[in-house]
Amino acid sequence: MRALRKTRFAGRAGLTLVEILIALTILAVVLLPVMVGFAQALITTNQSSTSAVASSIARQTIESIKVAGYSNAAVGQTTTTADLVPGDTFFQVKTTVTETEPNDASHKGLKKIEVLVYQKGSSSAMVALTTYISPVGV
Amino acid sequence: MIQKCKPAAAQRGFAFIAALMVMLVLATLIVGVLAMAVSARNLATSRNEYAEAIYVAEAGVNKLVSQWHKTGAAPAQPYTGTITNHGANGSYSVTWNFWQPYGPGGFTRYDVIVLTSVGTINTGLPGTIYNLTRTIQVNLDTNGDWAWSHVYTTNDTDPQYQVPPYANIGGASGTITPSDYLDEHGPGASPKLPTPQWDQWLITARAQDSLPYGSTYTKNGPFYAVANRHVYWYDPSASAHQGTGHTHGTNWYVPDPYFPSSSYPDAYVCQSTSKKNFEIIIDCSGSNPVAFSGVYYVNGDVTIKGGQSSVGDLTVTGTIVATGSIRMQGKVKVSIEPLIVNAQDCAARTVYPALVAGWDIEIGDQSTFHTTGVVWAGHSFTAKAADQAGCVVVGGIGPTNDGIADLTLSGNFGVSYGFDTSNPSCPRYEPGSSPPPMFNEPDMGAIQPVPHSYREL
Repeated sequence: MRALRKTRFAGRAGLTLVEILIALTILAVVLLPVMVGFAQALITTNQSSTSAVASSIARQTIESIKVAGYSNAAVGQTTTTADLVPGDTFFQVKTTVTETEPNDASHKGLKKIEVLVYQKGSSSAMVALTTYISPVGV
Repeated sequence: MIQKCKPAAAQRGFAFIAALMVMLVLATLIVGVLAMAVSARNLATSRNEYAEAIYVAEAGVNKLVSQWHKTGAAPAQPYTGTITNHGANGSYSVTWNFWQPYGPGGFTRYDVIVLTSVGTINTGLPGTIYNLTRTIQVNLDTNGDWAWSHVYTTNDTDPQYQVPPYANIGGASGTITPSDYLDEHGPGASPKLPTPQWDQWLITARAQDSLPYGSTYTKNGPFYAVANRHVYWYDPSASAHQGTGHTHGTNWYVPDPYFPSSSYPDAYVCQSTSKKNFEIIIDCSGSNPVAFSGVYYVNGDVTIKGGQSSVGDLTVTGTIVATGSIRMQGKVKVSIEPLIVNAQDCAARTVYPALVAGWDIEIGDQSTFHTTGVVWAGHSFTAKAADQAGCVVVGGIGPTNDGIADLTLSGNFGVSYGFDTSNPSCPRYEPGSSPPPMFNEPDMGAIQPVPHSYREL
């Protein structure tokens, strides 16, 4: 038996530890950017998804102001939160209403509406929508 | 049978190729995944930009309408502006024209203004569209508020009627110019002024219709059917309707633009080689005078035709309403006594206009026109009088001003109003106090455009 084994592996040297280490290193070098790439893709996809939600929140906010009507759009700045998942207050929605034209007997007013949606903890807005509304407008 | 393995020497290099293939697959995979992720990010960013652009376009419309209300006059077009949207550069450009429901060159609604607003946004973000644009279209209903902003009189000596909103245009000849009034709004300001509420006129005319459809009034000849309260034209013979530019024969049904589902046609139009406007011809050239009463609504033009030698007579108790033009040609003497409701009650009375035309009113040099009511023209009023028979007489001005020649009034105007010969003690029309029927009372010149439709192009 011993003689047989000796015969079968004769001339076939095994992998040395050094060879294995080299192989693992090469594998790591190859796989690292792959993993980084996947991670980046995952991050980008998440950002896109979050951005789409933020865009919907901004549009919803501005549309609800329009539906409420010109007179109900209170001048000033308000900050509210919105959830990505229930209860997480993931987004901050900053709404600024500025009266640029008075609404009186001889004028039809004009208000500037600016809606900014931030991700919690971030100082740069993900989405910014600006428009003007008027009591006689669309 | 024993299959012999390939010698180890023949397998050398396979590991390297396999490794390369694995790396290639991984690289392809990661590139694909990254591309998809970047694409999704660009899509999300573009979606934001699309939303930003539409709101910029809306802002342009709202700013324009607000300014229009503020100044009472349409701003110059294109109406443009910029909006800084938190780092992004937004801009809008709004243009407008009149509504032509049947396409360019066709029937025009001068009381509906179609606004087209293009919103442009440029965030400068990578992967986004440079100068992304979105376009919306908004119809503005102008409600006809300007029609009664100014009262023009001829040969009025009363100082009260020499100052705005009244304007004495003189009794001889002349053209109304902006210097005739102090307000910046009014006749000379623009022909882009609202028209009466055609729908209401049509409803009124129909409500008065007491004869079944198809009843004819053949006194004017066999070719023109005048049903009570309505005027229709039909073609009972091949020689009918010899209007300018029209050929004989085929009649065309004109769908009612306000009641398209109605089976009650308002008019038929003859085949035309030069124009497609429907035209009613009231032929007064015969020896018998023509008289009718009520509100006559014509979705098109009205031509009142006199004779070459003898003078024809047309007496109307009520109002002639034409969405197009009203013309008086040849020797014809037209008298219109508008309907006055509550004539003896100065406060409650309502005086109907005599003539309402969406476009021009032209009175030929051999025609005579008398009325005690308002003449309203959407574009212009022209009266020519070659001799003593030709004149323009407007109610409430005093004695008949025979012999007025070449009087041209451009733009919308009201020629006095509210004068009642049976009760001259009542004061004349005061703008803001007593709106005539089927017209909205003006607010001293301010147009009131109100959006009533919205769509994205």
